[in-house]
Amino acid sequence: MAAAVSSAGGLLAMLNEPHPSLKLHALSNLNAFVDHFWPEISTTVPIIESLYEDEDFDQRQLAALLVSKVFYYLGELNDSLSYALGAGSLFDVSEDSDYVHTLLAKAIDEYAALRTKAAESKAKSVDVDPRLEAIVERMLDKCITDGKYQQAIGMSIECRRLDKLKEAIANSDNVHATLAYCMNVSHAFVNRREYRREVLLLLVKVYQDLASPDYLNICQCLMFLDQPEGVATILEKLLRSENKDDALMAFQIAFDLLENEHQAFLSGVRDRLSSPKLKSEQPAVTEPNPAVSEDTQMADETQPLIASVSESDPAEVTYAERLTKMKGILSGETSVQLTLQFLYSHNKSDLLILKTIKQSIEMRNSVCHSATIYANALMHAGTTVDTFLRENLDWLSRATNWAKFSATAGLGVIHHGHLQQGRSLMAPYLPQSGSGGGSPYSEGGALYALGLIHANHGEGIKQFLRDSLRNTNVEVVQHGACLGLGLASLGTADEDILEEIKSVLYTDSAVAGEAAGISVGLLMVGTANGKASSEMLGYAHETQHEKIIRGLALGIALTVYGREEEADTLIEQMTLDQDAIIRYGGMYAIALAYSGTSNNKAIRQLLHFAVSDVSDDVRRTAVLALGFVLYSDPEQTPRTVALLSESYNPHVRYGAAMAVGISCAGTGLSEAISLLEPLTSDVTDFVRQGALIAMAMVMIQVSEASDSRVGAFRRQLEKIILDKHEDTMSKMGAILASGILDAGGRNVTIKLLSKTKHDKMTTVIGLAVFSQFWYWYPLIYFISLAFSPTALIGLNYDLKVPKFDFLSHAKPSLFEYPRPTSVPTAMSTVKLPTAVLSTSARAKARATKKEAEKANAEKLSGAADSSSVGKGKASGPEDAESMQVDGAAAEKEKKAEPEPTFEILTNPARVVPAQEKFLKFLEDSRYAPVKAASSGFVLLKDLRPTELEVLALTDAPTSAATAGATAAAQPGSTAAMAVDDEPQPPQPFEYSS
Amino acid sequence: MTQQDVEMKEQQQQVAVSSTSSATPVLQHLKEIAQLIETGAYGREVRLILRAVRLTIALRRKLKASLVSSFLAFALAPGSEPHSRLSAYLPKDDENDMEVDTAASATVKHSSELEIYCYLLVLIFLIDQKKYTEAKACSSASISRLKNLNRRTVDVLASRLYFYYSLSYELTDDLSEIRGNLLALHRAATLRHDELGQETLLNLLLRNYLHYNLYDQAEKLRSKAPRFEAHSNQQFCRYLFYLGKIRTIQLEYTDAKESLLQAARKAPVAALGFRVQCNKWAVIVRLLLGEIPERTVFMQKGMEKALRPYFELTNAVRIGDLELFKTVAEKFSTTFSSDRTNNLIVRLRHNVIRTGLRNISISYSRISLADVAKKLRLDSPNPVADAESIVSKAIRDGAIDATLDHANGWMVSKETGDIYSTNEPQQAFNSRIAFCLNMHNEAVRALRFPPNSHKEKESAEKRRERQQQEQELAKHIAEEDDDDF
Repeated sequence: MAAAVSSAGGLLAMLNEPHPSLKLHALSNLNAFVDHFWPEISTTVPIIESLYEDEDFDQRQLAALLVSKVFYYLGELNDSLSYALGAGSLFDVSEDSDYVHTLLAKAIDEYAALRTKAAESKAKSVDVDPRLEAIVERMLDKCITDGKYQQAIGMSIECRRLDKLKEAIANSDNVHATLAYCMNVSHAFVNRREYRREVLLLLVKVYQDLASPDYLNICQCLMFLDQPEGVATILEKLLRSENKDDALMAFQIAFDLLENEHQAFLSGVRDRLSSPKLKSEQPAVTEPNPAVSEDTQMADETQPLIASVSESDPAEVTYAERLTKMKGILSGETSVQLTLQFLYSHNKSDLLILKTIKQSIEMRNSVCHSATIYANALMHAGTTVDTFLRENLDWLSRATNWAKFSATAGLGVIHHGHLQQGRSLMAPYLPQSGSGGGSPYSEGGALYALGLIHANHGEGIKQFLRDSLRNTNVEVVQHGACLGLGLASLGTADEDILEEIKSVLYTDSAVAGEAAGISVGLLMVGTANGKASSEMLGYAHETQHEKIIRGLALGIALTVYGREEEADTLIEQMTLDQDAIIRYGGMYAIALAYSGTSNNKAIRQLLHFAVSDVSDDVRRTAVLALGFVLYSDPEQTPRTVALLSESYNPHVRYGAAMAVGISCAGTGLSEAISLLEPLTSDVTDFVRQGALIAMAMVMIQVSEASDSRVGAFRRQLEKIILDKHEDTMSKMGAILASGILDAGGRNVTIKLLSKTKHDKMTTVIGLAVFSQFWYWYPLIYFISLAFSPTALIGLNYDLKVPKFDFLSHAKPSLFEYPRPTSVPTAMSTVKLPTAVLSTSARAKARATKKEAEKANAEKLSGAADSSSVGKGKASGPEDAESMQVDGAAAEKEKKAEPEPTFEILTNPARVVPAQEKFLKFLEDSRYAPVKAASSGFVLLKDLRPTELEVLALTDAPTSAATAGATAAAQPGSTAAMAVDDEPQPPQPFEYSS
Repeated sequence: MTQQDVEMKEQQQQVAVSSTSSATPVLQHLKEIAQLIETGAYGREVRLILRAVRLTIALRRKLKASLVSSFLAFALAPGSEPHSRLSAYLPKDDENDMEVDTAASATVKHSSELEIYCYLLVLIFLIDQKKYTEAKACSSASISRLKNLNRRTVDVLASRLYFYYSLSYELTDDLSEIRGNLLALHRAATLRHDELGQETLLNLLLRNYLHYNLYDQAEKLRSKAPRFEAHSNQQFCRYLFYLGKIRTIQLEYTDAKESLLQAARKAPVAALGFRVQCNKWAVIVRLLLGEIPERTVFMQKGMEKALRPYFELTNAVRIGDLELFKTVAEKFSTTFSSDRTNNLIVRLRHNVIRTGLRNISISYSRISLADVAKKLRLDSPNPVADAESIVSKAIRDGAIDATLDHANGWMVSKETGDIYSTNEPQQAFNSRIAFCLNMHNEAVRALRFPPNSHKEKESAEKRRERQQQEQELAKHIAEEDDDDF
């Protein structure tokens, strides 16, 4: 047989015979022996091909099969495939051989490529070989019948066969799991935005057809599709439902949507939700209702619940009441308030660190001085605790000019999210109409601070900021107002505001223009408004001021946030520009347009610029931008930039450090730390600065127990700060790094992705603008936009926080707060006395304050206020101190007994990202979550509604009366303004639509 | 063809294995190798596995049945399927009861790389013990096991296994049986982008074809198979050798010479048999090209005896003496037929005549054809006419630079020009430089740097010191500049 025949020459010769039966014999034999003699047969392929093309020959298909096999052996898969198609039924798809497997894979690839090409060129007629299509369909059907749904889904998505995708999902045994898989795939592997939209649209349809629709996922899809109507309909349906659980689900959906921080979308949902119902059906009853509950909501806790249960017959009343809550959630008011209360009550910042910094830096070094102020603001971001500033007013007053600007703006970071009292807080610093007394720097800073307080929730403050902007022509104030306005109206694309900012821009003042450029970008985030961006680009070419060009370049980049391919024209325009600053903006445009997509094309482009551009700024930014593109897959980044981090060019090294810092923020990823470690002792000072900051971003909320290098890093920071010979640049980096490491009272982290793996817009934008601090230090505060509290906050039907316990199934030490620095170890002998003094002074201060408070007739634990300013300030140190005591006590206990393997947490609790997977709700608990979640806001089902609820976070009251009173007692208001006389700040969350 | 070239071994590095005959150190070494393979498999470091294979070859002579079986027990869980199958191939010798540390082996979860390595070890052992039938069975089993593995770390081991697979069949002269299998394996290797495997298998296939004198098929396969930069030097040498042989048969002597010489040069020093083979073929090809190899070629260390027949043959060609040529060819005909070079030597006769003719043309500026015939000892009925045709053909081929004077019946040689007035030396020089540069580049590419040595950190103090020095230097220079003015 095969071994006996040593050559195919005879058979090949037979092909030239005239008689068809001889040819047939030769063909069938060759087909059998092709595995052995393909090298020989390959020389006579033309003859066999001509046989296939011969219409009269009745075994053409056999000839085609033979040619296909020979081409397969020759590695010419394209030809092989086309002949295999010609072989028709002789090409047996189910045959189990390498040949068939390879060709099938090739067929699917080919088909997918054709379909994609057809879809992209938008050609109506898709000229795909029907035979090819038939083969692919056969394969898809086979997968579906064999139960290999995941393969089928992958293939049909790849081939753009949405009909088959639907079929695969519908046929699978576990539709929910399959849908979830499909969701993942569409986010991870579908590169083109438009196509992803199509897939998601299909998914939404499938979801809605299910017997038990998964509203959470539907709404996530709809948000990506930007269809507020759909979400509004679903929410309304749920709210109108008889079942209380449905309402809970609606609230949960709202919280989840909120997490993605898409202000324009949320307000779209809100508007669509309210208008028809209120006007058509419940004009009389509901109109006053929101107003009432808005005010009383926080004060009376249990009443609405009982009320709504008891008067069950008017369904509309229930609906109206639920709607109020829903609007509260969607506006962000509820979550901001809860977050604020959480951060305030759990604040664990370590003032000793700040003191150390303050004492170790030189008096006249203004860079380090303001860095310390920045660090303080970041450490207390959102906690409303400004003790440090209060205790060091003299020291603080050394800040002049722009330092004063940022010092004032720092208050905005500290009071971030303090929506009600924000304006009255900043009142002493705000520009006063009439009396032009204040320094423009503090006025501008105050406006910026207002923006920071109201970032992304700016409904209430926008008007004020606009007025301020209009009423001034001092460029520093304009600068602050522009930034503030941009922050407050983030992503709303408000035409009027745009016009006003533009008029500032066209004054061609460098200082104001820079802020205006960024501000336009903030306003238009993600709108890809062609007109606005071309206008900005035009002006960038026109103006002489580099600052303005830079501001505009970043602004343009912001407008294309998340638009992927849509931004390509603009990106090309910017990256090919002659002006390095515009190319630099182009890098940001790539970063933001493709943020979190890990798009290969974008990565390639950035890497190209990182090594080939002539401008150091562009190269640095190109590397940095990689961090944005890759953040959805943080493990990739250290690998991608590893070589760049060893570049000879310090700018590239800096960029590599920041890229790792951005994309691995809050992960504590080991590779990231290993990459950054050598950079923290780089030869160039600013590389050290970047590496220290990046390291702090990576290590935020990682405890020493889980990675020992965290402790080493803290010691390194301290060493750098105390070292007199260290360069200012790296010292500043170290100071900022300590601020970031302990940000938000050690209760926040930097998360670029929400739980549902969507981008968090505010975070991304915040980090993008933050990375500009290279040119302009006040922009450091933008990092506060990226902070998200690491908390699990359980809410009941009334959106109150009930007290209940849950389990963290891991050693407590893994996730505990860092120990507070202790005096003797941290300080040199010289500093020892001061430190002791300060603690004793604080103890004294505590005593006196307590008395003052009692005099204030304000009970701490009662249903009084805490989110109010003065109160927050007054009780800040006290709480911190008592907590320290607690901590010490706990430590002692720990030493006594071996560490337990679990820990009971009480709602609301700090849950760091690494801890999430260890969380468990107790079996016999009173509350059960509506969805499986381990962080953020979780709506709870009350299993025993008859029992009395114990609420937590009640020490954070909001009653209006106390706010004024305590604001008067506020010692910081040295301006001796009649703050208490001031009318109640307008309720920023009223919607009179 | 002898087996010498097959047995080309990578013995460049003589591992300093203590020559103690006791079993334990060898077993210890084997265990270290196993460890190496595990690390390599875990870290996807093909390099480590390559090293493991090299170390094994060094241990080859010291393998004993008891050793191999105790290693098997160490590497594979006793009682497991591969273990029992492999143990079955080993001869049982009762004097050595297995003293195996089962404690360790019970917990070890072996990787597939290690399993393949065990196959390889057993196979090498069997071949060394001349147990060819067992070797055949073992190798077939290993090949079928390999088919289900698609891992790049296995490739190195797999390519060795292919080699021994083919060798075991060749030793029992059943090569044709496995040709189909080899073709299938080659295809699979191509699909998996296993380039080392492709290389090895292509060589084995060529060898397989050449064994049966299927030069045409071999050439067709060679020209159709995908080519890429060589991964293994040994495989590349072999490829060049086979290529040279094919080209020689197909009358492409210039290319053949290049391939064969390159193969001989690239072959490791230890692979003496292989180099002898290369040299034999190279000598014949050079003779066929009309060149005369230098005497040093035949005097290379360890080759004098093997190359003796070829030396005498060369001598005959050099003189251009047909008589001598005939006697030499007859005298060593057994050697030549065992070397399978007989058919080429027949081709040489023509060259002998031509060489003689060249000698004549150099020596005489003018000579009559009758004298030519006499000098060439042409013993045909009409020697002058014969000589005339031979001379005219040689002139047309460019072998001699001369003209024929038919009227007078003599041959007139032209003056030879000065070669240094042409571009020839320049070209030769260029090709040598290119060769050297190429060699240098390859050497650089083969260098391996210790990882991260350049990352040595500079402490803060040192940095400050350095910066201060730099500043001082800058100041110094600035001052000096000032002084100049």
